[in-house]
Amino acid sequence: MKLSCLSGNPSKPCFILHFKGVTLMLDCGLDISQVLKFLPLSVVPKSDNYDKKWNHSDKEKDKILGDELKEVAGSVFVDGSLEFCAPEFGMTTLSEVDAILLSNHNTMLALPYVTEYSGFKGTVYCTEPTQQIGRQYMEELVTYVERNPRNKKCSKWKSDAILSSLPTFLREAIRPTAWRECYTKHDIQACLSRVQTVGYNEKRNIYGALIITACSSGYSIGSCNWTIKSPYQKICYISGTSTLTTHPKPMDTEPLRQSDLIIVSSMTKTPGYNPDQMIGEFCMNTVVTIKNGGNVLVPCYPSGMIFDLFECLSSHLDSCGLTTVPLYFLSPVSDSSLAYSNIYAEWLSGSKQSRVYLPEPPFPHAELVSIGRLRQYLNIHDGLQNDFKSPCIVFAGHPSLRMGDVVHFIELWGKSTGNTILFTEPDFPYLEALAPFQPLQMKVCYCPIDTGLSFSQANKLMRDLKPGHLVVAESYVQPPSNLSHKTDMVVDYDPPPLTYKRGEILTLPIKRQFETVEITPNLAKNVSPVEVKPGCMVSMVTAALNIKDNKYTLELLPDGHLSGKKRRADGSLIREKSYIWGSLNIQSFVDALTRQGITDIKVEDTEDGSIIDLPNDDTLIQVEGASTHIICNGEEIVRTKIRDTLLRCLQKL
Amino acid sequence: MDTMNEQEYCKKVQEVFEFLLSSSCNIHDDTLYHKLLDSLNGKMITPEFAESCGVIDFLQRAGNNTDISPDTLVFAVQLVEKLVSKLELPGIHLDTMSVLIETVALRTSVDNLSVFCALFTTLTTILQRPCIKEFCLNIDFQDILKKSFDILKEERSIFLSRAVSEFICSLFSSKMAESQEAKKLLKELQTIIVNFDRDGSQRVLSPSMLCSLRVLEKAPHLFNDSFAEILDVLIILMKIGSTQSSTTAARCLHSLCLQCQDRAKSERVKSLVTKAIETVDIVKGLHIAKVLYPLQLLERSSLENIILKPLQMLDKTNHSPAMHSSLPAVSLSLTIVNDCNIQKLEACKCVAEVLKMTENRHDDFTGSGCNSFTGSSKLQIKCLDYLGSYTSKEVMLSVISSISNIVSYITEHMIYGKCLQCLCRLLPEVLCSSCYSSERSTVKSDLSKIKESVQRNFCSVEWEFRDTSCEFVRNLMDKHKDKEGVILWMLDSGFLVFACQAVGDGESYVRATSLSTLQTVLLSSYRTNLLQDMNTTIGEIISQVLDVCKTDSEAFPRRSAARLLHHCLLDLSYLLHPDSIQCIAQCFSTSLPSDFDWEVKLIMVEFWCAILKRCFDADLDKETSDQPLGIVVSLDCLKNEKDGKRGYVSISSAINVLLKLSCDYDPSVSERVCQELCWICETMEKFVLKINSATNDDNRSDWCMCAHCSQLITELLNRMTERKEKTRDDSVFKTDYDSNALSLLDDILLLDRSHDNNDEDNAIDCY
Repeated sequence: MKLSCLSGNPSKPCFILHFKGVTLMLDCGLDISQVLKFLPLSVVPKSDNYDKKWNHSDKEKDKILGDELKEVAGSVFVDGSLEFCAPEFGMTTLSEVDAILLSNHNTMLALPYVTEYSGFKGTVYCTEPTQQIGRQYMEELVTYVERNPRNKKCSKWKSDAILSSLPTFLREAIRPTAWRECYTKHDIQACLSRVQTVGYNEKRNIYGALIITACSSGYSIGSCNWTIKSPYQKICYISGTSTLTTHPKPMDTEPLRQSDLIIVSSMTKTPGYNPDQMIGEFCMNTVVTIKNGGNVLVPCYPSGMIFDLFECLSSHLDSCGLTTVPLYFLSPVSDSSLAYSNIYAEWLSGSKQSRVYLPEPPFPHAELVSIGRLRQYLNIHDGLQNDFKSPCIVFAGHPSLRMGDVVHFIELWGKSTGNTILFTEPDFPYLEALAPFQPLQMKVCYCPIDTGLSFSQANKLMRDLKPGHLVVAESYVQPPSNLSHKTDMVVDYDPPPLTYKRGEILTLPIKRQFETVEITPNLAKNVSPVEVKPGCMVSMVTAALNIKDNKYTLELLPDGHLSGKKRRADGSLIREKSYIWGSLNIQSFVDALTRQGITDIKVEDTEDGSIIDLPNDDTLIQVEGASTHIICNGEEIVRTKIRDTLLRCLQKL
Repeated sequence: MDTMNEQEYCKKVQEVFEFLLSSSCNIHDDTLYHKLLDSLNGKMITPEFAESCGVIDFLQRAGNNTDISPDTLVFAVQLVEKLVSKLELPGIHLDTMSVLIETVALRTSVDNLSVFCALFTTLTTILQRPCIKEFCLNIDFQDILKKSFDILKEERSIFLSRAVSEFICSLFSSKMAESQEAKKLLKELQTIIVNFDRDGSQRVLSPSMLCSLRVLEKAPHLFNDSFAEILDVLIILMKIGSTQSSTTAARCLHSLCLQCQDRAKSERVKSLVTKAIETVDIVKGLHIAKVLYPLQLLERSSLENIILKPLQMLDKTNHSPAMHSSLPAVSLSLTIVNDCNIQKLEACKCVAEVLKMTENRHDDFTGSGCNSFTGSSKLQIKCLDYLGSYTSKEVMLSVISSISNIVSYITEHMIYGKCLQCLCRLLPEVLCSSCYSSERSTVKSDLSKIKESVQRNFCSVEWEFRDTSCEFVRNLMDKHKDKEGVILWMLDSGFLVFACQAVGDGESYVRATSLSTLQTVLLSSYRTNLLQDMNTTIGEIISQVLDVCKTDSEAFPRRSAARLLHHCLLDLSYLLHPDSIQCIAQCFSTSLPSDFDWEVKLIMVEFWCAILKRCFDADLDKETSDQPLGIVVSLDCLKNEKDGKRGYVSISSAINVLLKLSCDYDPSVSERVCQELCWICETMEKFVLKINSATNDDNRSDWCMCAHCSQLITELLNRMTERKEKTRDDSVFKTDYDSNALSLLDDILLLDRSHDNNDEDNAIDCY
């Protein structure tokens, strides 16, 4: 059993698991953080001020580079179309992947690269909300990239000779040559058409070899952990899990118990920040800005935590008497995101579900929309100008600040000290994200809200689940680099966890020892089992082993085959061998020996069995629990006599 | 009480006593005994009345009856205490009581703890009375003293020991102190002290030792015979005893020293105490210093050194775990500095240093620069308490810096509030200091940090933080109303806008505080600038506040809003637009008098009474001082007001509202109105006389005599007459036990009857 790690970012995981002859891909996350190396895509054409070319000190290299790199506020960026760091698909043959299991919308953005560009023929499994929200994320990404495209593809800077001489920020890029351009909307449609949706705890059979089940992980609407079971092994895959109480259905730990191995990915990206405190900080900073007459910009994804933000923020605004401050939500999928969130009641927490029976929409943002306090727009040209009222709070994508309407708002509001940009998405380092917009006057607040498992929660969960083995990212067994003194911020387990990192193939410590084989009734009729110990029957069987859909069946040999006669390769018969079993009854054995004419037999009991002395034949027979030794002086007749007597005293098949 | 009721009362009291003395007495609820005792205490004005009620007879029978229940016995003993302390009783009555006391003291088992507690408490009271000697003639005082001493030695219940100890202490300050019995007891007490186990095995003092020490503390002159031995014992006790024993010993030593005529002796006491205090451990030393500080046994400066020692010993650079152990000493030291109110530079420096060490810093998370004091809310509170009352100029900036760091990472609203209180006190001096204007000083950045933190806390998720921030702004304006620098700093910080925006806060307490802040703004001499800064006008504020009065669902904001309008109308009427006055008057006459909250209604009463007072005063003074009535008050009637004469509050409106509130369902409101109506009626009567005696029409025109107004006045006078009659009638027969003694007696007798009928279940059913 092997596990290949294709992704370098444990929060955007992608694994290949070879288990019982089945090849499974676990998640298919896309690491978007590399877009930070690029200049932002401005929403309003001609508005960008990013035209100062960066000059390489080496004339030759500068000539090769051309104007691929631009310098903004002391930092160097690539002035080309955005590219993304897809998982290391080269590690495996994707056409041999039998199924892809997706945990949540955050870990599926690289899916089109697999399904549309690799000859993949398998099936993709995920829950329905994951499929829909994932579709929204993909569509938003594609819309942002395609809406104001930068058509120039830059690749000269990626050559090793030049890359090594570039500023650190670019030099640190991981395998830029393997970066890929964004897929298309058509790819998204085609890719998602291969998805088979599953419900929580619904069992799906993978080629008869494995049973997979999704169970709630509490992280987002429809997010799940996977259990992969064969009759004798159970592996669990934990990805994007939260034990906190937010809007999704709470985590279900029961199916994860008694597993031989658990693979953990997507733990919190910000272990030093408490999500509850951060939500409080977020609300507080928003209200301070609004009360000071400024506007608030919140770079965000179109779904997920944003629903909690709407809820907490609106109630906090109410409690601070700011009931009229408008909230604008801009995303190409804002309409579907808000609409879908309210129809997935069965995937939500108990309190949200109970609202549906009142009947009320599960999320309060439905009411905010109905009273016109929360307004959603597909983009800034979608009527926003007509309704725009300041001060306000704008939620807009993309959190990387390299694309989407957020770019426009930073350019618009960045020069005023009264405005604030509030980072809540932990995917991107906020200072790097802001680098191309410097110098920036607007206030910057970093309140990352990551509800993923913290180290203490993960350790507690593992102590509860008690898996045989644990597999975690290499970065999870050492304290985060910025908190190196926090030695408790590691995953601690006994036996020590196995670790994975990008490009590594792990041999998992699970050996397949047994397999279930069915036996046909016709064959069963001819079998005469013998009870060798209570509850255990044994029989010799000669049959044909039929393997179909990973199911093993023993059948009668087809006619024409010589039944019961084993032959060697040259056709000569193999003598039929019998199997002896049972324990020796000393008295019967002594009687039998006596009948064979051996006299003066002495029996002596020892700790482990008995010693039978045959002084006349100068022979000792040592009978122990599982063995019998006959020590004679080499007289063949006596040896044969004793052997035959012994065999007669034992049972045989 | 009239004669009829008096007779009935006496008869019922006798019946109750009969019941109490009967073997069937089953009063399980001892509050009834207490109520009866209170009732009798109130009624027994003369010994004769006590006799006619059967009290003396009851006490006599109780003294001779050994079968009565312990509760009744306790009651009888307590009754003796009440009678002796209140009345000058004739000798024959005293005899009866002394028999009872002796019976209880000598024939009752000491296991009846409550009886003995009551006995010794009563004896303590009797000791202080002039009749004590007469009282003691009939009792075996020697035996009682012996018994008391035995009880002390036996260490029975803590309450009994305390009552006995109190009795013994009182004995030596009473007329009986010179008796032979007392002298004998004193000898025994001295022996207890002198024979105190000095090897340290007895760290917690026995009740007898404690009692002896108390006597010593109260009357040290009685112990002169064994001065040296006692001094020795006290010094040892101070060194080796528990904290409580040490402090008791310290008090005794002080007392001993005070009565010393001999200078050498008192110097010896002081030197021994000084030496002892140096040898004891630091925490005990602090406890002793705390006791001695107000007593002036030792020099205050030396005691201050002891008290500040834990603070001075702190190594600010060493963040070793050893510091952890000093935490209790530092905490205690801070408590004592606060309790003893040591307002000196040295103490202030130490406290400021400790506060600095407790700062929650940003690097807490990364672990560097932390010590065991970091973030200790207990220490922070104590430091801030001290610095809130006294901060020397030398440490002012350091305190401001600490406050800025603490509030930046604050998580407890209590500490946040204390930080702001401290800041509020320091701010004027800080802003005037030369450092503030200096470019190199960090105080500006500290204040700017505080400003940011306060702004954030104005928007905190926890309402307590928002409320505290509002309160801070109010305090700034209230306490520094004439300090321009503070007001400018506050305006520059934008706090005022935040505080006033909180009128729409989701939490009612915050809304209430915000309204109080608005009130302070409006009454401030910088009103115009403040309103400009808030970009609003007084009219807008009034309309906002009126809205709160009418629509807010919570009482607190409505109270604050009503108070604000009250003050506006009385003090700022000249600034108000007639329309605003009209709206307020309407709100005060129609909406708020029907408010659900009693306090809002009381504010209405205060307001309308103030209006009437102002109106009457102005009118009465008119002839002599020619003082104008003011824009608010008019003698015009309600009818004119309705007819569109805007900007005036009529006198008839006031009376109308008060009449309405005098019938309010809430007694606290109606009672208050009726009290106020007394003086209003008196003044009105004067007016009516004045109007009637006026000869020409000019004088009469000031006061409207239309049918409506006349009716109002008549109604007012009628209401007063009714009330007077009602209060007269209600003086005796009220349902409350406190005012209706008969109902209490009936209830007690009901217990008797219910027992007789043996029909308790039915009685319960009836209820």
